Amino acid sequence: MKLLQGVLVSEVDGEYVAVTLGKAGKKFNGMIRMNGTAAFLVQRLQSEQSEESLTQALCETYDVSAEEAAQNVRMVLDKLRGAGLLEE
Amino acid sequence: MQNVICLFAGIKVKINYPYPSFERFAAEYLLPVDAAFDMEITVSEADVFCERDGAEGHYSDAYLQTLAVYRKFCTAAAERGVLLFHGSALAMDGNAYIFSAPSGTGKSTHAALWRKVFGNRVQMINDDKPLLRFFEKETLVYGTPWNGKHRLGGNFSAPLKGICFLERGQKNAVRALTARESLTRLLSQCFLPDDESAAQAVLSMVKEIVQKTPIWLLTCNISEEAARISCAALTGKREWLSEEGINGQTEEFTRE
Repeated sequence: MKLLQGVLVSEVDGEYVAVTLGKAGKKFNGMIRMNGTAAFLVQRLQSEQSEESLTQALCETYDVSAEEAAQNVRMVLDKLRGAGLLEE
Repeated sequence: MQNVICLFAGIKVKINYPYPSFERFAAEYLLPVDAAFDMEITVSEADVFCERDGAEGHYSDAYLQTLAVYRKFCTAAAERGVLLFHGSALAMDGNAYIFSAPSGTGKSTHAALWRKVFGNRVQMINDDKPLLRFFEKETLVYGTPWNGKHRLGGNFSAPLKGICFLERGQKNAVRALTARESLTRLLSQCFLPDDESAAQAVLSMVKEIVQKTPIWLLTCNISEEAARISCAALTGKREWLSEEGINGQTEEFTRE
């Protein structure tokens, strides 16, 4: 899976906001506020990923257990899927 | 196709367009027909037709054409540091301030209160869709022909010294917004081009606003007190501001 083209993430002072353009903007017209972990996953999803590859990347970068990481990944993917922003 | 050369936010742009009357719409901003230009944009009938999709209600081709021109110009000019910001911009004593909020909140009404209270110290730059241009030392706010249904504004610019978001409330209070609080509010009032690199340029400009410009949140009713309070915050008379914002300190403001 990967993110639709046209999802950009803006960061100020630890606040992350994703905006959508073009095709992605037609699917989801609005902004998504997220924390640093979610933003990290969103950046990864600019290229093809699996749930496993995202969980692994999260574990390598942050000090979290595999279980916590997997849970986080699922949560973020659910949100993105709900917004129609994933290409699977 | 017809064409004009205009000066928008200091950029000389040649505009090719299909339907009549853009020349009249942009009359204040026209350059001589043989002027040199920095960029050229072409709006087709199809571009105008696309605007119909996004617009609520039935509009004339001439009106939709103005939207298509602004969209093309702002997309092309983003990488030159030009940003379309939705709000009512005015100048007071030579400095520019912008009131912003979702449509229908009362931006124009609040700007009108400033004109009523502060008289000719206030000039309208643009009541709806001013352009911001980012320079190394300052950000200028420019008037444009896209100046709202009351056509308020003028062809001049002034340095941006503050942005005030408005919310309706029973009482008047103002407080500074943090960078984090400002980001979503600013993004939701900016024109975001569909083109990815132009959109990236817009995001950088928004970040620059957050870093350099004081941003306020005014909860207000429609009263002269509301104008005095936002003015005290925007013009930098912060001695009036407590941590929680201003509440009922009109006495001190009227002494100004």
